[in-house]
Amino acid sequence: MEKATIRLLYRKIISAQSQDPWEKLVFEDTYKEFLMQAQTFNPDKKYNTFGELLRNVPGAERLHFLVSPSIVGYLRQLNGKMPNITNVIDKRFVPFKSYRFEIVNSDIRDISKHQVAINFISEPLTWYDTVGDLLLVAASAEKINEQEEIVTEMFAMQPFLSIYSLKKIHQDDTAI
Amino acid sequence: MPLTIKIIINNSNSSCAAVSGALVDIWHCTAIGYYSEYTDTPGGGYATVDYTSSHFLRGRQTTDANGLVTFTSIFPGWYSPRAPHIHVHVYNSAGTSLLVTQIAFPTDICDTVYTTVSPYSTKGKQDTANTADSVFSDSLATELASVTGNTTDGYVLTMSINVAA
Repeated sequence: MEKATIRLLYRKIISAQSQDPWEKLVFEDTYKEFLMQAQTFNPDKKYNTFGELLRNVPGAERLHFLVSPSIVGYLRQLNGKMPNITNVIDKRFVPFKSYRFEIVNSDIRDISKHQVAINFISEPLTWYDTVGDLLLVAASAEKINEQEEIVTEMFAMQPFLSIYSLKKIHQDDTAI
Repeated sequence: MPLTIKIIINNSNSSCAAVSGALVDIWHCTAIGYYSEYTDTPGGGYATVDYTSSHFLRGRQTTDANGLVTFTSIFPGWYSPRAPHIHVHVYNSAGTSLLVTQIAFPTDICDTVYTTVSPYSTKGKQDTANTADSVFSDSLATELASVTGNTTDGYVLTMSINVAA
């Protein structure tokens, strides 16, 4: 069968409406860090929202980077598997190492306006087939021996989950 | 080249008494003059959870009862047109910004490291003297650290910084 190596992208939005304990910790810590880092770009407290800072203060887009260390400890708690994206037996299975943190919006006066996004990029998965609306992939980082039994996962595409990249594998190439 | 960085924060509003519980952020460049923020990460702007491709040579510590924070780092390199330096941002325990400043290095020690230790030696001596530097030329007395050590055992930098806390 025609195969490809894919990477998945999952964009997780965290806001004042987030209920999960892990999300609440990320929400609070990123807001505290935003309040600290924004002072560098707003010393006279002339502006209140992240949007205003981006529009008016040169260099304010550095805030995405400057606030991101506040989440690294929480990312490590995920033990290398993307949150929320589960296989058909309801287990998290997507390995990831790379992420990009974004401040979506925020307000130094009002925590309820604070919203962040974490973009997770998966490690390469070998995509073998699609069965109904379920993808059949191998998630192992080990080199796959196609003559042996290949351990696979099945999962459905979900909201905020996309295929980030694709690399075709030809019949005579070896898998990852 | 290992560098231990010791910074003591004192309160200029209180006869220079030590400030405990203050947050001290520092950041500096690599041995050859690059900052982690401006490094191209694989995949275009994506960082990795193990920190190695982004956010290196940046850190935060909280001052103890003696106003002291200690960082384990490396001796920074230099880039034109700046003298070697470490950036510092001090906040109080509530997260209110107190001071943004920089720390300068004694030139004789820099000369030794930059001419005899790889990979600093690929660039050689700094091209901008402390006295000619855009930040230090008029404030060197309050921004120059004391540095002890040698190229075998590494170095220790000590600096006192006054903030209005």
